[in-house]
Amino acid sequence: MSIYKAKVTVKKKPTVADPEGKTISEALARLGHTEIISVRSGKVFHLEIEADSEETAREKLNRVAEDILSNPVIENFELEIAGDR
Amino acid sequence: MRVGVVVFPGSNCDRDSAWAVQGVLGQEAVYLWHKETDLQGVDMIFLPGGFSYGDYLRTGAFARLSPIMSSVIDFAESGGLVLGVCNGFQVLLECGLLPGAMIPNRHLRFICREITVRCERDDTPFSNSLRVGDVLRIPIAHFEGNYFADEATIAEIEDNNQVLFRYCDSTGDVTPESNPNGSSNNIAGLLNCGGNVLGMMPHPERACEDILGSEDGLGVFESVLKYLEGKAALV
Repeated sequence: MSIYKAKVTVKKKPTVADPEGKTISEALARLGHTEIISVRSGKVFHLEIEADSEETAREKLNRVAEDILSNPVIENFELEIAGDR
Repeated sequence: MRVGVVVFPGSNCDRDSAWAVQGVLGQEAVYLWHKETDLQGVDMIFLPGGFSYGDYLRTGAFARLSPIMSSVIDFAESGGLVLGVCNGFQVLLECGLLPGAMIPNRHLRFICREITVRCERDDTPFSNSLRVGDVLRIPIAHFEGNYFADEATIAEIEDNNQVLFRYCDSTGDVTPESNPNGSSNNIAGLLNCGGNVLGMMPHPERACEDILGSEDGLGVFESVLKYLEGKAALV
């Protein structure tokens, strides 16, 4: 068994309004950072998982991200595995 | 009638909800702790407002995993009445008893004020004492009450007449200006297809006595009572 470090990024789907991202983007414009053309807010989760292979880890983490970490009605997620610790 | 008010860690409208049932309507209310699974033979489940599990991860996300919720889902699926208010509505969305999800209010503010909603149906267990077009004054108090569902789901909801309450102005017109939080189609109260599960952001339990500024929420409780009595008379 190995321990893998993983990062799950949860973002609102492009079709879902993101009032937080919009507010941040407006604040940036007010501060003069006009080169920032868009901001979308999200959440990042760092996990460690014990698994016999990276493939098994990926399978389990996908399920965790789908079942708990994100709400598929409004959110998408991306999974990155850093590899064997 | 006997109403079971579910208490999650972080619920804060449980007492008000029980008071509306017991103190105002003179019916029986029992508290159901989230770790229990026995619904104690209640006629209706009330999922109260508050901040269950600190709203961690998403509103209602952890409440859905409570032992009591498996019993509540079974109860709802066998036709039992379930009313979720505010955080209770969010829990119903997270556990899939109602379609869609909540996102933060359009203007990113916690809104705590009285609003008006229009009643869209008078043929449900929650609204048989109301009339279509009735305008109810009921308070809202939430940060995430901006109802969202994709276009196909919204179309389905409208085709099935699942909207029970819509945010409206004082004359009953449903307008963009009367939408406090940005909800799709001004949805304030949503039914499941069977009509036995209702989620609503406005707090009817906070509008059951004149001293609180409005008695318009009482109609929801009275409807449930009337429905249950009618059902009992048939047995």
